[in-house]
Amino acid sequence: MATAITDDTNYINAKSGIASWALTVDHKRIGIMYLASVMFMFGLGGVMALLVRTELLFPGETIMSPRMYNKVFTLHGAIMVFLFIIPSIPAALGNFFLPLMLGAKDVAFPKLNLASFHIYVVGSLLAVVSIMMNAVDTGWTFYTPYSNQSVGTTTSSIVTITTAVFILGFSSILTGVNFIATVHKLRAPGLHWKRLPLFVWGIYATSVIQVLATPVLAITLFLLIMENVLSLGIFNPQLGGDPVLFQHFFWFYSHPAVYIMILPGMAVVNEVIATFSRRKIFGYMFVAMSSISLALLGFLVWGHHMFVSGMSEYATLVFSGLTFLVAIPSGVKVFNWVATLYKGSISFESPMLYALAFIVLFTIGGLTGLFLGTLAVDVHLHDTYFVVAHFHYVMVGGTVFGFLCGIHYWWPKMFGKMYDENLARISFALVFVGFNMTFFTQFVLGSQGMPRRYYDYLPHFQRLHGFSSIGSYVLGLGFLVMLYMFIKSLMSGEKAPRNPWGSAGFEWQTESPPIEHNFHHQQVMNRGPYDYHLATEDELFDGFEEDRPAKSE
Amino acid sequence: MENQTEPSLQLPAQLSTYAPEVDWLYDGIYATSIIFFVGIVGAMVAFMVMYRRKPGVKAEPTGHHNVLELFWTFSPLLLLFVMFHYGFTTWMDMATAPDDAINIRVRGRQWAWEFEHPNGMVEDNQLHVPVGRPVRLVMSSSDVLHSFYVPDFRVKRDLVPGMFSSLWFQAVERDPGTAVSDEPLDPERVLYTSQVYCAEYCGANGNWGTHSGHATMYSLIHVQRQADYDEFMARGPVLPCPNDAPTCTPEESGSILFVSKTCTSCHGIAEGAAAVAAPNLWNIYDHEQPLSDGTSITVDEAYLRRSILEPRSQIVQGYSPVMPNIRLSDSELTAVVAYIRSLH
Repeated sequence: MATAITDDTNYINAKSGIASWALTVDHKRIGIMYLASVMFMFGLGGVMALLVRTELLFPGETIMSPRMYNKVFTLHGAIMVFLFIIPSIPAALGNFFLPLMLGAKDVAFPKLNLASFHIYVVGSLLAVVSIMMNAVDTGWTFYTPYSNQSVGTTTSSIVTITTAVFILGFSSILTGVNFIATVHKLRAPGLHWKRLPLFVWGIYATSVIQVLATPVLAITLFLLIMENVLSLGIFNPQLGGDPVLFQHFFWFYSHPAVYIMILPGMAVVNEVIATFSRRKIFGYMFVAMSSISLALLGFLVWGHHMFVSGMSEYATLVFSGLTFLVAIPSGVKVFNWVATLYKGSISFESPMLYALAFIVLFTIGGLTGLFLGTLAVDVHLHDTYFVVAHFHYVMVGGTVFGFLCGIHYWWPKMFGKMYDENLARISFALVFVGFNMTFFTQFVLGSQGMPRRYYDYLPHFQRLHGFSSIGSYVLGLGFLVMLYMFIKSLMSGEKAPRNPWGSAGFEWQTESPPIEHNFHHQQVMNRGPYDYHLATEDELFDGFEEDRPAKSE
Repeated sequence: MENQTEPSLQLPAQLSTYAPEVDWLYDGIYATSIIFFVGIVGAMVAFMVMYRRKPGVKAEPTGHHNVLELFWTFSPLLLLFVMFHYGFTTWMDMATAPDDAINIRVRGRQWAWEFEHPNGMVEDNQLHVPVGRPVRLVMSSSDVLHSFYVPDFRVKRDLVPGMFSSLWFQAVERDPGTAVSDEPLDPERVLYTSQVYCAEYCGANGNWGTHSGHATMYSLIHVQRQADYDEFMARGPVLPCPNDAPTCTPEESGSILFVSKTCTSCHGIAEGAAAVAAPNLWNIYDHEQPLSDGTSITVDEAYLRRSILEPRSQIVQGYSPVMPNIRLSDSELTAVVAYIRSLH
């Protein structure tokens, strides 16, 4: 006999059929569809990365021609940045958990949310079509005049890929608008700003950047398309244009974009450190304000990508100074996370492993940014593998580890199933070791003088390149084990209790998975999400009887 | 500061006058990073051990500590200001060439470098400089962005089409005392050679081998004793010959120049070779070529010379005006034309 669909059926079983997913306005279903999409894109971008590293195992031709290599590294960057990392945490985890954390039934504009997802799908499909027809080889940064030149790539391929990114930008902007409205307007009674989970603060700051910065990318790409199609002469010096102007426009968006990438990772880490230390994050208000200041300061430093591009010394002075300023809020967060561990009660399940690894890897990424912000040293390191290593430490060691942290943490809530903790630890170890093998090596390659975007290299760099490539295979293996673990969980995982980690957070006060409209009654928040000393035993019960404290206490 | 003329684990040899300053800054940032990393991760691991979950022990509710927060907000700021200050002052030293610097004109193109000395002599993909004298490079690109990078000197600057950029360096002695000696002058003798890389992505033509793309547009800087350098400059350009023979035919010189001037980046020379950005030059002499303006021409000496000296004037039909200006002396031009004529 079929289970009756009642108001208490979880959101996965409540309705069935493709249309009920493709036309849903349920933020949880939209989040899951985004999750599947970005994970697929991560796989695609990851395959590109493995191809790049395989070509670089040895000097000379290994598996592909120079032109093919140039396309593959371009695709790795473009897919990872635009199709994976920018949507990842906000669109997948933010969509799912923002309303739950606010005690709301959905986001402020559910239909707009669905529109954002469909725009993402259209943009992604156009990108994939462009790649299959004739992939560009300009690098994900599309610098002019090479992106105007029709020797390496055709006009049509650059127009289609930049149009795809233009379209994807709107998905990002509309999601940002939606989240800002949601945080302002749909907080449950009792949930004032100073009680908001830090995940919400982080997503809110991210949304502000998305709304303000993404339109600049859209206009920049539009100008590039017009330049290519109509020969306008904005960037092309043969027509009186300025190639460096493109770099200014491009980085004006793309630097804030990296804060769109890292703030959500930090947002997740806040939640996990708090839950697994059973303690409110130390310096809550400072951490919340540091997210806002990163969002604002992030708009002022774009020139540090261009110190040797031919800018005046005066401009470089200003950008270097501001770049050092923007380092401070990130440091404040790291110090506060470590202080949260002090006098906490810490357990080390897989989400916490990812959060702790985030702290280590983001610290390395951040400290290596200091080398690059220092003018005289950046001259030597710019456009070398040092830069590649730096941004992989913050984007992978930071954002991807934050994303994996969030997926592991919230998996029981999203799907109602537990995953195999032993497999989680094995895949964590492989990913952590593989990542460091691949990218720490690249700091040394860079400081020794190895430039980036090279399909070939001088023989004395071979040992380091080979070691880095082997690391990438270990990293890939780790992700394969993780994928297997998650599929196994969906098919036959242990049923998840309401609150398997014993967290005081509000999203854990609903069923796993949640019912369609999230809560049975309107929530009233009498305490904060980290108030372990105010939460009841029932609220913190993790569903495993053996963890119940003895009744006599 | 003393120059460390051997590479270290992280950094290349310090072969310019300001390389030690740059490395001092690098090492300072490195030391700071180690201290912060050990401090942060050390505290993290210590707390992980000390405060691991124990039955019956509850976590202490958090507070905040404003003084601590202000401390760890503003004290790193001081440290960072110091880094910024020295980064800037060294950068200004690197940006200001001495008044007596030798000016070399650098032209970058896909995928080769051309260096022109003040007396007009042109070197392809290599540059001879005297040790202990400041050299300023005045650079431009004829097509897309490139970047001139010499790790040993710690210099890098983009070449931007439509504008000039510059950098300067002064090469130092690698082995003390070798710059001065009683040995006879030798224009070919070099104290040491430093590698030049292109550091701004600029595409590729699809072939493996030198000068076919961003990854293979290498150049070399040959640092010489002042006296040998003067001899090299006085001798002037010499037509190259196979196996360093003292003399050879113009066609033989031309075949070497055709490669060293990287005509091979775009022109095929074999029968039936695929044409990409430029016409195949196999067997074109004395044959008709249709031009882009609709007329046609019989390829002769004059047309070949004009195609090199004014590369965008009479384009073969079906190709774009992308050939850059390449500087050749008159005897080099004669040799290259003789070589192209001999391709049949």
